[in-house]
Amino acid sequence: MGPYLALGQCATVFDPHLNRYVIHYTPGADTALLDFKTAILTHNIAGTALAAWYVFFVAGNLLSRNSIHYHIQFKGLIGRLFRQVKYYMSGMFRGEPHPFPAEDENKFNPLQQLTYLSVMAGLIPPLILTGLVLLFPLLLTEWTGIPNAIVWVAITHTTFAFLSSLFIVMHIYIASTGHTVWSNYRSMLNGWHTEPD
Amino acid sequence: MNRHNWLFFLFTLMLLPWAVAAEEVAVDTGDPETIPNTHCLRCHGMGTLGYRDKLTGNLVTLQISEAKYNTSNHRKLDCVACHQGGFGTYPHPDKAKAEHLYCIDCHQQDEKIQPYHFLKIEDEFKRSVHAQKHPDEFSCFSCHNAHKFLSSRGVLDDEPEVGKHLHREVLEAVTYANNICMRCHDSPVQLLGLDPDSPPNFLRAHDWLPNHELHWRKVRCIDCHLAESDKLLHEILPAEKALNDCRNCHSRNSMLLGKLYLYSTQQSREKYGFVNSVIMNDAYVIGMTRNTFLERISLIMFGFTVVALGAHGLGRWTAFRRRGK
Ligand code: HEC
Ligand code: HEC
Ligand code: HEC
Ligand code: HEC
Ligand code: HEC
Ligand code: HEC
Ligand code: HEC
Repeated sequence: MGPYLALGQCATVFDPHLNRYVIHYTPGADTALLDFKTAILTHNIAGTALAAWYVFFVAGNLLSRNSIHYHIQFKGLIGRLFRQVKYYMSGMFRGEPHPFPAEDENKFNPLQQLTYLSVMAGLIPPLILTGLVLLFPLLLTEWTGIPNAIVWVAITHTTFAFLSSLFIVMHIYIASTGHTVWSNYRSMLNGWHTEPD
Repeated sequence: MNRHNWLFFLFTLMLLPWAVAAEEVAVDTGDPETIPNTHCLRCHGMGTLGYRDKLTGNLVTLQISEAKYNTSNHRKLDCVACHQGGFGTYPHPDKAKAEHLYCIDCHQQDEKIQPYHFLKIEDEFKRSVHAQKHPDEFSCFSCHNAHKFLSSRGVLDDEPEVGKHLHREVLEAVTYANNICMRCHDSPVQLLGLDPDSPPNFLRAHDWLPNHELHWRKVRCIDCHLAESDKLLHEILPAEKALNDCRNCHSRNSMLLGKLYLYSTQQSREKYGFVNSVIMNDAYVIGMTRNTFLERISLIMFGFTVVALGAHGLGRWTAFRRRGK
């Protein structure tokens, strides 16, 4: 299950982003990566898939034990965050061990926990919501009576999409800081986390 | 009737209050003919009515499409309001047939039609490539048919508030305007009548433009072939001066806003705001809602992130190698 979920996640997450760049930057440049119509279509499909995946993700976390990974312990949080940052900034270069190795009860380090929670709760929902609104551009004005409200929705969508693409780049990079460079990518596929024995 | 008589006709018309229903115009000008349009359309409504021009060999149709006539700007006029001089009888008298009508003759100082600036349009037309290169062959009627003519503002409302317009949809206006040009430029045959040696090569000239078909459907030829400030739409420039910068349209301050979408979206704009009204007219132009400031900031931030991560990775790699030794 895990591997498929991860792959599905990749597909639903990547496609909108690639396409966003295509859709957003195409007409200025004369070179189009993708035919514009195709880009729009896949973006719509992938965006809808992302929305569906999100519902699945929230439901899954509510119903399973997985949500414990998102329970932040506020006591001493600052100190722990600081340790994690220090590890990324210097400890890692000196080959020090991870300050918060992944465990069954605690998959994420404090920094990851905080970031993932804010991405999942603060970034993705508005992204999906604005995206859904953009699928039906005329309804918004019908409902709210505010002319050109769609422009602000579009700008919000773009901003959040951009932030989430920053997140993705960092996320992918941070994944290379596991036990070995490739171990985390491997564990995404087979679902097991490898630790030094 | 010669030009002077036309001026006289105009003069009489001007004395009449314009509120008088158009049908009565013919009667009140003293013209003896009060012939209903149906009389003329009995013959001129037939698709087969036409003749072969002895000179060019082209088929010249004399059919007047009733449907188009009734949705045109002139729909309220009797045929004989314009075609005077005895068309009520058949065969039509030679005197009547010798008559040449010209838009400007009727529209020179007509208050109601003032907003169209006919005289300025005429000046522009005279400076256009067409009139410059072929002054004898080209006239308003090369492009306009008085029986179908429909301005981009649509037709004036029937009801009191003058100035309120029934708008045409954008796409309709585009098709209407482009058909005018396509009639000649899409078929070399039509052009041959004028310039047998070097008909401009329409398709090759637009090779640079992606997806012609879509552009032909969504923008007017004249949106590219006029000077950008030309709001009167008639000074068609030589080809080398045509607009070829995508950004003129595909950008936030797209020039289409001031031109193509100027009239046709006014009503929906009041109701829905500009961007929506354009979307609604099925003409959402990519790039028009772009925000270049945000775009630049985001590219810079993205660049920084990638560079920072790259540096971190490099640091790890060198540290790893040093430790390995
Ligand atoms: C009996 C059929 C008939 C009726 C009715 C008729 N026409 Fe015609 N009309 C013709 C034919 C046939 C021609 C072409 C031969 C010609 O020029 O005489 C023609 C030619 C014309 C022309 C073109 C003249 C030219 O050579 O440029 C005009 C304008 C015209 N008609 C207007 C009218 C108007 C206006 C009416 C109604 C008041 C009308 N006609 C009624 C048959 C008719
Ligand atoms: C607003 C004025 C106006 C009205 C109203 C009008 N016409 Fe015309 N008509 C013209 C003009 C202008 C021409 C072109 C004359 C020229 O080329 O010199 C023309 C030309 C024609 C011709 C010659 C063929 C052609 O298309 O050039 C026919 C036939 C004709 N009209 C019939 C009619 C009939 C029938 C009606 C009524 C249904 C009518 N017209 C109403 C202005 C008018
Ligand atoms: C024989 C005279 C005559 C000729 C020629 C003529 N028109 Fe007109 N036109 C009129 C009259 C009269 C009206 C007023 C109609 C009304 O009051 O509804 C009019 C109305 C109009 C209107 C405004 C209608 C509205 O409802 O806003 C436009 C635009 C127009 N004509 C364009 C043209 C063009 C373009 C040509 C040349 C292809 C032309 N006309 C040729 C007589 C003429
Ligand atoms: C080369 C073709 C061509 C010639 C020649 C031409 N026009 Fe036009 N005209 C157009 C086109 C294209 C439009 C735009 C139609 C649209 O967008 O609805 C137009 C629109 C108009 C309009 C409506 C403007 C508006 O705001 O809707 C008027 C009035 C007009 N022309 C009058 C004239 C007169 C008068 C002449 C002769 C002096 C003339 N035209 C000659 C192509 C031509
Ligand atoms: C997006 C802008 C754009 C649009 C829309 C457009 N054109 Fe052009 N057109 C140009 C440019 C630019 C050139 C000059 C190309 C060159 O010579 O390099 C040109 C050239 C031409 C030429 C000259 C060909 C030659 O051999 O010299 C003709 C005729 C022409 N266009 C007609 C039209 C017609 C008719 C339409 C509407 C169906 C149209 N254009 C639509 C931009 C445009
Ligand atoms: C009655 C037929 C006719 C119509 C209608 C017509 N054209 Fe033309 N056009 C010509 C002919 C003929 C030439 C060739 C002129 C020459 O080079 O001798 C030409 C040339 C041109 C050129 C090229 C000028 C150059 O630099 O070589 C452009 C651009 C152009 N037309 C645009 C348009 C547009 C835009 C429209 C519609 C508003 C239009 N034409 C409608 C017949 C027409
Ligand atoms: C005169 C204005 C204008 C110019 C100039 C122009 N475009 Fe367009 N373009 C449009 C409009 C309007 C649309 C239609 C948008 C829609 O409704 O889908 C369009 C659509 C497009 C599309 C979308 C095609 C699709 O398959 O959906 C592309 C790509 C495009 N243009 C590229 C360009 C490029 C590249 C240039 C410059 C070489 C250019 N355009 C110049 C007005 C213009």
